[in-house]
Amino acid sequence: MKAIVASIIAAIALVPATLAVKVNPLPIPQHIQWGNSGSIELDAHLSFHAPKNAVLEDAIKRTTKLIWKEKWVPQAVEKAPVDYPPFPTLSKEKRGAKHTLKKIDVVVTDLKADLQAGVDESYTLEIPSNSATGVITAKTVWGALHALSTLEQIVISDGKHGLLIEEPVTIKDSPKFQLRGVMLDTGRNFLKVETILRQIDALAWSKLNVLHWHIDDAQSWPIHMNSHPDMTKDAYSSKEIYSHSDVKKIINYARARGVRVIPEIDMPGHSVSGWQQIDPKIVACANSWWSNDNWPAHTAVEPNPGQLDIIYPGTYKAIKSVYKELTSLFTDNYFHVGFDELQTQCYNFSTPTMDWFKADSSRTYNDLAQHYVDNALPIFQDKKDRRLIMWEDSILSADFAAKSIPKNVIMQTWNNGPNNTKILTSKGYDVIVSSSDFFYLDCGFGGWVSNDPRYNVDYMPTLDSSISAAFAADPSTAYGPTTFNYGGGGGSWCAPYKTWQRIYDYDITVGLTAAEAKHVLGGITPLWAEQNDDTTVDSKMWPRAAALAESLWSGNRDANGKKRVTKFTQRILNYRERLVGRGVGASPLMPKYCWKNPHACDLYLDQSAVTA
Amino acid sequence: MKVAVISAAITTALFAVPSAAIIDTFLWPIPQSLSWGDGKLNIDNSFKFDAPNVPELQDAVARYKKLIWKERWTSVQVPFGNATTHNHASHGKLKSISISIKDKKADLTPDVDESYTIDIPENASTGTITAQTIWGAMHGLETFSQLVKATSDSHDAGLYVAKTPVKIKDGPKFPYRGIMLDTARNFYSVDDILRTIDGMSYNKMNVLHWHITDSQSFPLLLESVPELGDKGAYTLHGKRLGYTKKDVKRIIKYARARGVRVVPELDMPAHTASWKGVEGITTCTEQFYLDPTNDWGNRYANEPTAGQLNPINPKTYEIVNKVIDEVTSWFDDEYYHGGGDEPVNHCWQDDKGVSDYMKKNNVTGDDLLQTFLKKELATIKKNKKTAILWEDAVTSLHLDIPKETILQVWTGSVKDAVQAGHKVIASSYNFFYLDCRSGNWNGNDTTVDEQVAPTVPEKLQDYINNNFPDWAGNLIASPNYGGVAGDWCAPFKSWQRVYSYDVTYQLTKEEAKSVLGGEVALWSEQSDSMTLDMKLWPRAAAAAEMLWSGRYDSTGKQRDIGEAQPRMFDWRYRLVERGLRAEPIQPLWCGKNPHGCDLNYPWVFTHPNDGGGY
Repeated sequence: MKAIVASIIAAIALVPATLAVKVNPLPIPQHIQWGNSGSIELDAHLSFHAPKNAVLEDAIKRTTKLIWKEKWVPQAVEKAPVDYPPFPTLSKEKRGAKHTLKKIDVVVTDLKADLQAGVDESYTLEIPSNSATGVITAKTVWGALHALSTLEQIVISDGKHGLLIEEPVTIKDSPKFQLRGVMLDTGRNFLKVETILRQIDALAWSKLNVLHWHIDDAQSWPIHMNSHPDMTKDAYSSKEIYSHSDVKKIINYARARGVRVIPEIDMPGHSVSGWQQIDPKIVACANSWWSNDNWPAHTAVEPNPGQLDIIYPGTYKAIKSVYKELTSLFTDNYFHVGFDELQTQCYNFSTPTMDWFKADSSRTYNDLAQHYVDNALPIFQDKKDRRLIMWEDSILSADFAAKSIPKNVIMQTWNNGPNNTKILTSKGYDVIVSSSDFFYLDCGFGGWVSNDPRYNVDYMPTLDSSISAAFAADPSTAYGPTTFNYGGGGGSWCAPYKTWQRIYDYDITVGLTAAEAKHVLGGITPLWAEQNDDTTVDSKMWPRAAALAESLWSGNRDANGKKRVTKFTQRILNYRERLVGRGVGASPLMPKYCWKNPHACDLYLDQSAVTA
Repeated sequence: MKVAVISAAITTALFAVPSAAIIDTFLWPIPQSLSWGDGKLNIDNSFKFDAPNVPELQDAVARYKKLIWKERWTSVQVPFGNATTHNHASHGKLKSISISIKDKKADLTPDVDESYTIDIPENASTGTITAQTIWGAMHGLETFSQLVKATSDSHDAGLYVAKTPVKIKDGPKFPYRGIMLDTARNFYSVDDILRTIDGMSYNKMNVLHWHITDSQSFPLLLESVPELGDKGAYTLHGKRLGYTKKDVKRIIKYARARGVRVVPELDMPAHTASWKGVEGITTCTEQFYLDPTNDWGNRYANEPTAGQLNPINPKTYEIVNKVIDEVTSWFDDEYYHGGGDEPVNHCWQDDKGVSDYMKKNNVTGDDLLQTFLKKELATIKKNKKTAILWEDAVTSLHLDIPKETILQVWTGSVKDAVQAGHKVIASSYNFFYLDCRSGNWNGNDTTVDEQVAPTVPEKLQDYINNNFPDWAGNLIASPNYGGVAGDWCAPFKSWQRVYSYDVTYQLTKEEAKSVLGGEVALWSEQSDSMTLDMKLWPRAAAAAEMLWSGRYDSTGKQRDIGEAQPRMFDWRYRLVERGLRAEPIQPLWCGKNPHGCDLNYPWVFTHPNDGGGY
């Protein structure tokens, strides 16, 4: 135990300044240097002097309101896990600054930079010891918004009615990855507009900048279409439809907070609701049994089946009009066109497709996928600066991938961990990482398909002795025998549940060359909604998405290149309390005892146990 | 042919939903005996309950009258096929339900009669609820509320009862149907607890087992030993998170009004680090839960936070007695839960006084536990309570515990506990632990930092493929890939798994009589106000049906998860409407397309004339 104490002291000695204060902003900035001359009170009339810019003025109003309303008292504070000299606490005597902080100058170089992919988000924030004026500098308005969200987190209550910043501080910050987001699925179950806006609040506070909106799926079509008003006959109800004004409200709300909204219309798989109202012939296998129980005949990987007919020409007419309307509604240059999980068997229900295969026996499903790409891509690539996103299946599916997709299409990877990231980047694609092994927030809640007899097992099945023998013969394996209900997935295909530590520890460029790593734009953590709606979205999304946020903003390693998840613990525990205080129903990660007693709930007392 | 049948079914669901009400009714838990007609009886605007003048019953009647007019339920779940849509409107209107009670004085005791009958005629203006006790009548009122439907989604829609005449004869399979809530790992507000009690009464659950204290906090603000709460309760944003006597009384009263008993547990002698506010009565509270070797055999506790009551210090018993005396005076239920789980000898041996005592008197940790529990049980008995203990002392340590002690089984088998001569409450973690979900909650967890799935050794994979081709997918897991990721009780218990628990599995008829019932448990390391509803509901409802209606129906047939599905689907939405943020179990599509989300090909698709077969 002594040895451990010693090593912790050594670690602290290296970074004394960062530990001298209680605040612990998330994501932790790239560079943060605290002074030690004492705390600085905020003037009751603290003002911001900023250039004239509607987004910026709006954001400053929000920040001012938030810090005075929140008056944050740090909840989970970092300190060493065992006996250690008490924290330097705030005291009047120590307050070096004779003056209060009266004003913050906000300097933005380029007020016109639009919120699009790759926009500069860097900023600096300086609260000096010898002046009543603080300074924020940023290249763009969007960087300045991040400075404000950091400021919101370093201002705390002075214990009475006022606010203070604990020490003078200089922050220089910018994101490690340009694309940092979450995915919401409003096709499986509907989410209210207010629920989506609340997620955007939390995205902005966490410096996440993308809401990937998986709008529809096979189950429902929840967005109103002027060109095809009948499509929302397949909304769940008349109350579960996004009007155009709802969509604009969401986009504007997000933009005001530096969050891009990237829409996804999943095609040609996962497509039946809505589409079938335009023309039933454009959908194949809509009314088939999904047939998990007879796998050779399966038409979908989950209920309900339905894919756009690739050969029937009417399909492209429908796609064109739907796409045109949605691209006129959404402002981002990125558009996600889906392309995941195409099932070959579905097209057994399509006469045009069966005829097309008959006409030339050399044709394969890869040719069929290519036929789709050749016909759909010209529609999708509607303007010069349009960038399309596809799920990786489009090019990597084992039995249904296109032969050739242009390299300017961005691939979103979800299978096979870092291996697929490597394959895609080495082919030259830009990649968004959404590995289901790390980032799927819906995993670990059991199965959701009904009438499932596999749960009806009263006692743990006895392991066949030959199986035990097989495992025993190879003690090196990390695998062990398991069963469905006992230590297995319990029906969740992507079990286990991804804990905040699992998410934080993922290096999304692991195993890549420097050149390949440049192709990784960032990551998105998806929340598929088979078992999610308004009642559960906050708790499934937060605070886990904040673990992704830090990992993608400033990384998951310390200055020495070691994984810093242990140091992140108190930060995320504190941040969770902030989220709850700000109105987001984030899940608790531990008993309160744990954050009142830092590191008492660690799995390993050795603070450098996570190092890799 | 198959395809035709399916498309017919789906077409019905998607396009042919009548704009008027869908005439079907989904009940949860399903009554023991139920018969439907094909009438439709409207409810008169002046509808009232005629009930004997017993305050609790009058209170319940007022509540349910308000509920049915506020809820105006229209089913979310679409019925399968159209066999049930031919109901004809009845001539009369239902103007009242007359409630008769045989024994108006029967108190809410562990063995109180909870049975009831409902009779809603086809045309007449009066229906009846009969029950032995007011507590049975409350269950009748709940069932009646579930029979009531609205004619449309309009806010002023009229109400009716479908499929009249309706005759129901119902009573619980097990007398003990509970939820355990842990308010020590994380705190819940009084409102959270009251809302949970609402949910229990909707599901005919009748015991709230309140695991009040644990090592992490002591939120009970006792008057006899105030320093326990003063020092052991959490504070958040400067506010102490504790329950006063007034809070407790309010909870008990609210629960009683809804036919729910409240059984308190102050876990001891382990799980008591939070008692350290009283000097000298705890051991090992300064220890991390592991020692530097990280060897599980050297642990001080099964999880952070370590700490146990000192079993040789007379002051310990002085405090324990005071605490039990006061708690039993606050809680009026006949049962009292004495805890007793997961004692760890090492925690006691860490204390020099205790280890010296053990050496000097040549006693083991188990002996000390035996001594402690004997004294604790005597104090419980002195206060005229029946004690419940976690099973550990009997089934794993084989200590001498009086047979009158009820055992709560969580890790062993119900059979062992029954055969040891005890009455049993079944809470197997393999079915009933609602906190399990694969994934560790401890910080500084190195095991999740694994970037690539480990490779399965080729020889092993070949062996499995060759010998167990059907099993292969379910046979192999590593912690981060299909496995438990550090959660000791993974996987997540889905509602279908909870529903599958047969609490009298492999017991003889005689042995089965010793099973009082069961209880789902929500341990709160990763739960608080934000997640309470979604972790409890609707999964606790699945347990409720198992315990009220039974795993087997009156004909001895095992209940079918497929039959339960549409009822559960609708019930989840109804719980949300009633104010519980229950987790969705499926995409809404699945309820609108009956059986479309089943795992296996639905039998009813090939037997369409059986009207759903149920």
